[in-house]
Amino acid sequence: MIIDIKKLTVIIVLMATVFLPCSFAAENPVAAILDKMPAENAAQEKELAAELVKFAPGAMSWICRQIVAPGTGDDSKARYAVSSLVSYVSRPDAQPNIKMLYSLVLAKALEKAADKEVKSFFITQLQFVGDDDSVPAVSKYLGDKRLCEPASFTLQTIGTDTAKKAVLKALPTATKDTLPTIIYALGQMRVKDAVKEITWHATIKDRTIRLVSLDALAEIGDPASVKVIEKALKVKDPYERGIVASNYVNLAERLLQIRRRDDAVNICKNILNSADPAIKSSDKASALSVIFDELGRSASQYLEYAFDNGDAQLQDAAMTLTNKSESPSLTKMWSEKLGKVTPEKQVRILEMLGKRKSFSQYLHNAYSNGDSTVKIAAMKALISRGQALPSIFRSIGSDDDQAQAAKAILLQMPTDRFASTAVQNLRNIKMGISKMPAKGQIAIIEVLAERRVSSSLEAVFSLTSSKDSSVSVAATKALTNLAGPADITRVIDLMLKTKSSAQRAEASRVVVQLSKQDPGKAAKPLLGAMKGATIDQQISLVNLFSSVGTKQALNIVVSKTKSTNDKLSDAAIRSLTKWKNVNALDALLDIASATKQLNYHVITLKAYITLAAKSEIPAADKVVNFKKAIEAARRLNEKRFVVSRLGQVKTVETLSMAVDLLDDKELAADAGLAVAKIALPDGRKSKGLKGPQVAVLLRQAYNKIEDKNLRNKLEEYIKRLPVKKNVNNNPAGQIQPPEGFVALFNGKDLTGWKGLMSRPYDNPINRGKLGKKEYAAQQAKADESMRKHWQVVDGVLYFDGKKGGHSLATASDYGDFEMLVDWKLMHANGDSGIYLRGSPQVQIWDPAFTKVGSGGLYNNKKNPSKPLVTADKPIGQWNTFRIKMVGEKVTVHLNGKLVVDNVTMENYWNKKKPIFPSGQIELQCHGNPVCFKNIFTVIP
Amino acid sequence: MENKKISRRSFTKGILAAGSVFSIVPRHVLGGPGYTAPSDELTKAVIGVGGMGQGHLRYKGAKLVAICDVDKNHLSNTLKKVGPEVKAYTDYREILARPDIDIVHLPVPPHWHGQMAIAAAEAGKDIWCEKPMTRTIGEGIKLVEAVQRNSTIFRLNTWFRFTGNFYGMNTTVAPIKKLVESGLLGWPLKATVSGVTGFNWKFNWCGKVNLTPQPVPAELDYDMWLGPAPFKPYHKHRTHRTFRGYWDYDGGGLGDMGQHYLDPVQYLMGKDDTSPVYIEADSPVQHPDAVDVKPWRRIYMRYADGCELILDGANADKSAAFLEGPNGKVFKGFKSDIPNLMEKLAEFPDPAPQVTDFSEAVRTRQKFALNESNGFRSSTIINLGKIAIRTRRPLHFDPVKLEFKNDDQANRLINQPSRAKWSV
Repeated sequence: MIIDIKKLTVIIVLMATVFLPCSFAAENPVAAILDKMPAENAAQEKELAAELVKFAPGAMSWICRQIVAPGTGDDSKARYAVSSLVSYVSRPDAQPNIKMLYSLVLAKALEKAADKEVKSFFITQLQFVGDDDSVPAVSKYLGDKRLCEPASFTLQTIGTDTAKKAVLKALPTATKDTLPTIIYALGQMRVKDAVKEITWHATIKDRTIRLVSLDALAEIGDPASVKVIEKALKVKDPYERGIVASNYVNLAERLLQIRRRDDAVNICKNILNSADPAIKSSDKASALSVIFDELGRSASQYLEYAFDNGDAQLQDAAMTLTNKSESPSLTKMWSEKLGKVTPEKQVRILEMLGKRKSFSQYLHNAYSNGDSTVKIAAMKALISRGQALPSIFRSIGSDDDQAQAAKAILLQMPTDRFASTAVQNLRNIKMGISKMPAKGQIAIIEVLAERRVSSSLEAVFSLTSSKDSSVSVAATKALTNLAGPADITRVIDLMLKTKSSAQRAEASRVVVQLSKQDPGKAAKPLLGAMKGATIDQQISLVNLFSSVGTKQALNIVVSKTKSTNDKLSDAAIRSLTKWKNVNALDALLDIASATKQLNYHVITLKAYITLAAKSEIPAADKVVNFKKAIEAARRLNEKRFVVSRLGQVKTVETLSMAVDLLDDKELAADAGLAVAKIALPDGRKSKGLKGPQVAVLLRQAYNKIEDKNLRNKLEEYIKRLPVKKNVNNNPAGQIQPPEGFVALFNGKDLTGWKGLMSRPYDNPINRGKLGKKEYAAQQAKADESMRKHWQVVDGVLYFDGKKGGHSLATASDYGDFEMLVDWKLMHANGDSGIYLRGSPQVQIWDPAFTKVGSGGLYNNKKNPSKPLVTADKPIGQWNTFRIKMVGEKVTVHLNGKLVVDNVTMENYWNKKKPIFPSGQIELQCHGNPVCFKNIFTVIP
Repeated sequence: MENKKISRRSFTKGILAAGSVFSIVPRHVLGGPGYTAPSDELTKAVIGVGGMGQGHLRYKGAKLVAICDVDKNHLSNTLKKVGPEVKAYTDYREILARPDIDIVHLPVPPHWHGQMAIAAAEAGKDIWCEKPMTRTIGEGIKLVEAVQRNSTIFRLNTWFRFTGNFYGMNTTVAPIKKLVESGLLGWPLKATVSGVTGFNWKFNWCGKVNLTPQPVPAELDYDMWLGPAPFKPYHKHRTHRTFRGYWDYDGGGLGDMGQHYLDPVQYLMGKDDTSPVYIEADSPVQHPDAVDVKPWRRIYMRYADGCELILDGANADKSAAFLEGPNGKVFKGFKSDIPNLMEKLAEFPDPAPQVTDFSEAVRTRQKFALNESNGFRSSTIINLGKIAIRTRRPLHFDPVKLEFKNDDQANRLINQPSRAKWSV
């Protein structure tokens, strides 16, 4: 290698700068740049890197020195910086030599670093920017147990001759720990000079070293290794034998690459002929591939050998390889074989041949003569050449399997490729020119229908009069997709004239479908057809009017309900019950009220309600309908039906009606269910009824319902309804503190309050043990929760009761004191409390549920815990506590009445000790909304 | 630096041969040694029974006979849930050596996919591999070669191109494919994958910096857990449930969800046999070890024919369509600005059928719908994205040679060396 003087000079100069002591005053600016890492985007990254490079190489060295051993400090910024620089110097348009400069810096840092993980980091960075010049610095570590691997990765990536030599040099002195790594690297880098020594390692006891060595020998591809690997194939362990077999194949391919063709082909012949079970079909297939690529025409005998003697996989291989060449001699060889092999093998050959350019007549023959599997294979091959259609349609006419397969194949083709042929086929059938079994005709009709081939309408229509009933029905059904509103007249005609009930049913479905598409167009022919129609025909028509829905249609049907012919009047009434719009409502109600026949009464009443419920008329009107229906109902179960349907209309109006019905003894149970259905979330679509009235109505319902389960569900839901507007129903209730008292709550904000910490620091004992820093952190968290869940609304302190909330605590501690506080629960069965000296509590709850009034020292075990009397006001009204605490003794008045008389308050947090001498006052969070105001204290 | 490329000839010329060898090979045709008669039950082993592995135990079609894990606790927990006939191993090579096991499932972390799947293919097993297919493009190339040379039936554990509700599109992919094939949208197409179009990039999989090394737990064989990946001191966060946060093993949310989202897009655009030619990422600098500490914002890719992929991690484009062509768009929820779309679509052919039953594919030796070929291409999209994030400059990629033009650092990320002991 010629020494490049220029390059050398640059290197010397650069290295000199690197080795100079860092005397630049620029250390601070570099630290400032480092602080900005990681850059947010590419532009900033470039800017920062350019800045660093300005102070190079000292800056880069300084940054490298900031990298520390894992876990000993935060060096993430330095690592970001190193990473940034890797990208920066690797830019294709970077300044020349900048990459080399950086590599030098990294190499120097690698040398200086003391910790092995730090060294490993630098070695890995060199994997991305390193080059020839980095080899010496990195290869030093090939002998180190920890660093050998990263060093070998970097040297493999650099991959120059220098790198290869360095790894080779490390081989003789490699230890048990580093040997696999070094041998593997030599294999990956294909270092020929290593073959001799690696061959020696390929026979030793240690399995890892042995396998790594054989792998390396195969990679390097020296002909001398052929015998070594063949010998290794004789090992007993089947797993190892399998690996060596792959190495053997690998070696063949490598030999080919270095143009040792004969050696390679010999190995492949051995493999193909081998009876050793360690040599898999796939290995043989690979070998066959190599032979095919190398020997060209003379390979055909091997292809045939493989096909005749190999398993399915090898047969596949022979087929695939054949198709890599369009050689006519190969085509000939395989086609001649067709007649001499089993059907299974025929299929294989056929599929392969199907892909060859010159092959049609064989396919057609196979198609006509082969068994069904061969047929299908041939059919597919034909299709791929676009020659299939006549055959397909022929096969559609044969047996069921064929028809289905053919239909599936057609459906993969673009419509225009088969449409005209299909239509022509149908025409030929109609004209009697071609005979095709019914199933085949039906298949064609269905395909045309599925693709909505409108040009086939006439051909298909003509088959509605086919003598075969399955065909005529299928043709009729197909009209749904093929006919349009303009054809409705003749479909009606078909419907009226046919004698087949199946066809009539299909035809009516088609008419319904067409009517839906264009009711206006459909009405006239339908009505027109009524003229002169027989009774039976009128019945058919009347059935369809319900889908037309026009007023004209309605009038006719209504008139027919009064017909003297029972069948006709019956059909007319039933038609009304299926009416598509609300035009029929009045008629239905009239019949329900007036008819003497019970069954007509029932079906029209039900239809009336169902139609009203699901229609778009305003909710208020629906309520009117429901009320009318209840009046028209003659028996209890009908009324109950109406009420249950009420539940389907989720509006405030229907809710109101349902709530009113709770008073009706007979209907109360159903009304309750209707209330639930209307208002509560159903877990899927409906999230529950919202609106200002809802809460009011539901509370009314709550009071009237007896079923416990239902009450609970209602209560759950009521709790979640927004109630802020109701917070202060006594706006003028904010009073001035009495003589001597001080306000704890200023009516405006949370000044004077703090959040209660979450467990276990809600316990004053645990809280007291916290260090200053931890305490501050916990308090910050608690205050954040406080601000989320405690608000001042209308001058009142409101707790939203939602998950994640905690109690509210006074900022200061209190020892002996007297306190006034107004409180209000927002709904039935609510719960809260006043904690004194950080300990529970003076109870707040709903005596209607708990059977015990508020105010007691609930957590007492030995001393009284219940109030002397129940003094609570009804839920939703304000109550006033006056609490006095002196020493251990507590006295409570609720709304002026004495409920706790000088009782000892026990210490909940430490049962063996008396209550703390002082502590914060807390307003308890218990998972439901609650309000407080007029909170005052006085210290005696 | 010629040694960086892998240029072995393989069975089918080049790694790039896509498509099936044969479309129908009827069941009763198969015979000969080495193939299961249809009436015999297929057997499977699951290697890696941590998180995802639990799901694999239950996948239908083959009988579970063996499990393997490098963590003894995973093994003992799993043994409680499976039948007495299931044997537990700590070394997957013992499983590969058993001739009575037909299929191996590989819910191991991505850094193991390449090596383990290659070994499984060489051992004659059929493979059900987790996604992403491989951690690097280089391993992908080797894996495709090994699978094709051994005629392995290979599938990945993602499925949206042939079944399932495709995330925010709220439909299976089939009608979308039909729409694309109909030409109604025009060509070329632009796909945007983001929260706006119905996909979540899961940036929660970020790694941690400044990890303090911890003692290796007694139940874990850390050397084997690392396998081919470079040695780094042990920390719990680098393993088991959170390995996605480290470049050595995976690639954050892009690695996790990338193939689920992008394999169907590749299928829709008909790009199963090629890769993007231009890639550019907008991202903060990435930590050399930990992924997505600051998440990437946008990755842009373009194919030679003009089709574009936009991975919009920051959801910047609020009005993006999932698929946009010159003549029409398709949005989240399969909404479109093409009037009467469904009626128009009915006139077009259904997409070509796919082989979607893995055990059936194994029995009849047909290529599975999502196999090593098209899976390699969608996995490559992910890996191109990772390289773009780690280099943060415009990259030009050659989809035939599978290398970058004029970018040495990016090319060094294609083939990354692996630890000797676990690479043979």
